[in-house]
Amino acid sequence: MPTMHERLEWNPWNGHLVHADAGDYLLHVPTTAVFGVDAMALEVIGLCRTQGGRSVDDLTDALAARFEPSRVREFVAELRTLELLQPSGSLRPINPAAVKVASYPLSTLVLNVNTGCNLSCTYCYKEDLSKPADGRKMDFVTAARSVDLLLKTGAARDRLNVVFFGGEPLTNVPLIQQVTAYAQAEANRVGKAVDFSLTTNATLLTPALVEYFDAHRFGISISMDGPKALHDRHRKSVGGRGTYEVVARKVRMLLERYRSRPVGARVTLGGGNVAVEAIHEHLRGELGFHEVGYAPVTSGADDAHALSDAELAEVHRAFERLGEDYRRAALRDENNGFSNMHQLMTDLHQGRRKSLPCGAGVGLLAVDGEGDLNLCHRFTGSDMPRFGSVTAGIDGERLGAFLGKALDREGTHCETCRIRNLCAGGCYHESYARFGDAHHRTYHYCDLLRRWVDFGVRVYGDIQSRNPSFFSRHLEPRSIPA
Amino acid sequence: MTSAMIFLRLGPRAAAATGILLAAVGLARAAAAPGGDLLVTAAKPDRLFIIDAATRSVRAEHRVPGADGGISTIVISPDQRTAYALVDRMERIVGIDLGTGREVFRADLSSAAERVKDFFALAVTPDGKELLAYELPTLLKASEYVVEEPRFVVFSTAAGLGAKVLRSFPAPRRIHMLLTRPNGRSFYALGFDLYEYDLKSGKLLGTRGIQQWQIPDHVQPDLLAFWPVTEPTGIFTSPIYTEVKKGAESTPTTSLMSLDLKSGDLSYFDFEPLSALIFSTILSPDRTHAYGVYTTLTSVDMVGHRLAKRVPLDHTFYDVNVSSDGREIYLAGTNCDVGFYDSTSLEKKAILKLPGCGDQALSTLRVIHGR
Amino acid sequence: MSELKPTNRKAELLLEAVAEGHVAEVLAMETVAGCATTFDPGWEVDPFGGVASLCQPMEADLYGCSDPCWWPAQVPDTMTTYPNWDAGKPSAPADWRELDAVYPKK
Repeated sequence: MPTMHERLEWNPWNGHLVHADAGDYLLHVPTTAVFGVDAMALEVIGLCRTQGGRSVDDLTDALAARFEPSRVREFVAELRTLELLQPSGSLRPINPAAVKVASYPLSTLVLNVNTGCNLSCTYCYKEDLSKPADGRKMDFVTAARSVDLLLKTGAARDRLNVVFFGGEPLTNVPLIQQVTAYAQAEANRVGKAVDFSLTTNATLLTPALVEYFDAHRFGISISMDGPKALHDRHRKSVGGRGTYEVVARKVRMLLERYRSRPVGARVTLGGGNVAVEAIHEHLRGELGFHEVGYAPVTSGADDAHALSDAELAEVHRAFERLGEDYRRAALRDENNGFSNMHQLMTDLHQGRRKSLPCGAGVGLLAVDGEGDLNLCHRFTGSDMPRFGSVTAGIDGERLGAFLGKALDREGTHCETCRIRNLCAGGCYHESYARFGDAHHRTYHYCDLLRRWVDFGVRVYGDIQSRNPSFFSRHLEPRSIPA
Repeated sequence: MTSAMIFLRLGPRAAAATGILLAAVGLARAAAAPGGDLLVTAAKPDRLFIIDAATRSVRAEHRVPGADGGISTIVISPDQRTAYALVDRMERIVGIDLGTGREVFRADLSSAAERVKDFFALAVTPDGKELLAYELPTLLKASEYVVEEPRFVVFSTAAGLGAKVLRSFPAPRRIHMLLTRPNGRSFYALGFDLYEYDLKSGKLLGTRGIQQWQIPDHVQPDLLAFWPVTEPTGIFTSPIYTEVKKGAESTPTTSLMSLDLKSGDLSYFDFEPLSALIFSTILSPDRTHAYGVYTTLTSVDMVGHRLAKRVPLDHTFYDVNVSSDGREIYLAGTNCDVGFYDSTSLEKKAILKLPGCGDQALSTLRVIHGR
Repeated sequence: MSELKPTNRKAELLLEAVAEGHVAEVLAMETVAGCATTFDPGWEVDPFGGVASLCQPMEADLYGCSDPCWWPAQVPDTMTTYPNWDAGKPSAPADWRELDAVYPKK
């Protein structure tokens, strides 16, 4: 219990208020707990925001006319326990204790089956991209060793994931089929299950391939940017022509037949492509994708294929409008398929507290054609150092050092940021592409992301109060990667 | 460890050579007559002992494979040929043939994905054909544990090594004893409360006893019962701790609970204000006395409902049992000695130190008849 | 009663932790996921407030209580995490000196 005279100040690094029409919310930053707060709470918090803080006596006196002193005292004690009020002059942000990552129980390996691709999308980050004929194909021995490594390091898990990537993975179908057969046999032998997925530009899909993937329950993600004008702006063939016609035809064929798992679309928002709602209407509404996720290209502000800062802001406003649509659909007990929003709702619902921005290096690694281990699939072919190989194993020391640095927030803006446990510093590759340093925090979109989380808290609170069963029905509880 | 068995047939001289101590009180005992009592107990890390009560000597010592640290609950098959025991940190049940020492039954409760503990509760059906256990399962996922609902499980005793669950039923939490009834149709589950279930269907037949005991002026009882000993009378007894209220005062009191497995009669009586802790009790064959053990040996008058006699012991024992003729009391559990006491005078007659002197800890002391 | 209205499940758990002084009980202790789920202070003091009615000597009780996790704070968790703590030391009265502390695995 705080003493009567101790001056307590509100710590904005541990608590963040979000105002909504129907009420106010408090985000407890260290735990991602979300609370609704009433008038008394807001008064107390408001009074404690003044520099130098307030003592308990100050507060009970100031509020005596409207609120019982005992109620005020109890609330202050609670806020103190939650580190939302701290002694004035000793404010400190609560962050997870430093942890040394020493083991790498992989759940997912991404295999770059071919650096070759039959398209030449303007924004593609693949630094090692080549024409299909010149592509570096992964050989089966390397792929098999990758599977062995996954089964070995993932020994504690009962389900593992193999992701086929590229270039365009469908330019090396024989390898995919060989690896699938091998992985299934090996997994069966040790009593584990393996799931497969791939991201493809769809141009090389055939009914036979679709049938094969369906039979093996592949998770399929299609890279598509929207209706014709938007899609063709950046997703061009090697010869420079737009690919919408053939992609749309293939997608229709796929969605007509595919039954084993929902198919999602992955949209890259390159320069000029800000019409998010139109894209969503086309991909979800007209073509029928189960869900659509949007990735704004922010990595290089000078590049023609990237979004300008103004365009990025416009994209985020569009995200909020689409998020409002998500909210209305949720109140009708439907999911509108806006994957970015769905992910944010899941994070808030689970109270997810992230120490790292993603599973790269912890549960996921990518294998390039040489058999070297990369942080993730975006890094294959880059200058970023490798972290071992499928023959030599994971370079635990180097990887541990990389992750240790990512975990250390001290001295960065992340240390006090109110969304530090939801963002956790941003995508390593984005940082690497924009700043040349994977550890550089993604400050260029901090404000946008903080605004996005505020938006999410309001929507989450609204759905919780008006249709709480939406979450149990539509959110799959996902295990947080170790 | 293979199920190597070690037979030790000992006479008094060999007994001295292997470090067995005989307290020279009273006359030397004659050699055991056939059909005399045998004691079954276990000691760390993995030994099952059969002791000839008359000569106070170890007749057989069997190594239990995979006991891995200790043996807790022991139940004996009705034909007295097999001892079933909970081993391996409560994750495995083994059956040991008492004649050959061979492992004849094994049920591994845990699997790679699921850790299952059986907290002391084990019983054999009266026809010897089935084994009843209680599972507390936890699903071990990659980054989380999922606590699952507890269940009763039944095995066929003929299943041999690698026995699999025959049937299972939902069970309540906080059970630590199973007692099968002689009718072969139902069993009692004892712990937080006293439940009766149908053996075939798992249907709850009734709840009584502990939470509902509602004896006027007595507070809710406290029961600590991990030793499912019902021989030779087929009646389970246990000390129970309560408080008797009188006006504003309340007196901590020791009570004795009796559960007749055959008739289903459940009774309690207070016999003294709490003065000495008792962990377990046993009913004499003529049912006139109950003997209780902890750091003292207590004799309770079952007819007069009062304390009859109490003597201090050399150290704490957990287990108590009684000879078929009611003349001797046997003590075991905790450390490595087995005590032989006169049931009338409560005098110490002999102490047997088990070979290897491993702690008996929470193993159960059983009495069977020699062949 | 808190002024804070929990909106997500994390918030509910947090308020429970605050109310109970950081003891977050999720399910009954009966599933032994490791000894940390139980606490029974029957070792230091007996029901009479003294020590005479504890097991005598203490070694008589050592394995009987540590095996089923009776004293989670006082001895290592042999039920799940350190099953070999007493390996080679089957007699507490004779071997207690050899029982060692346990150390986190590297």
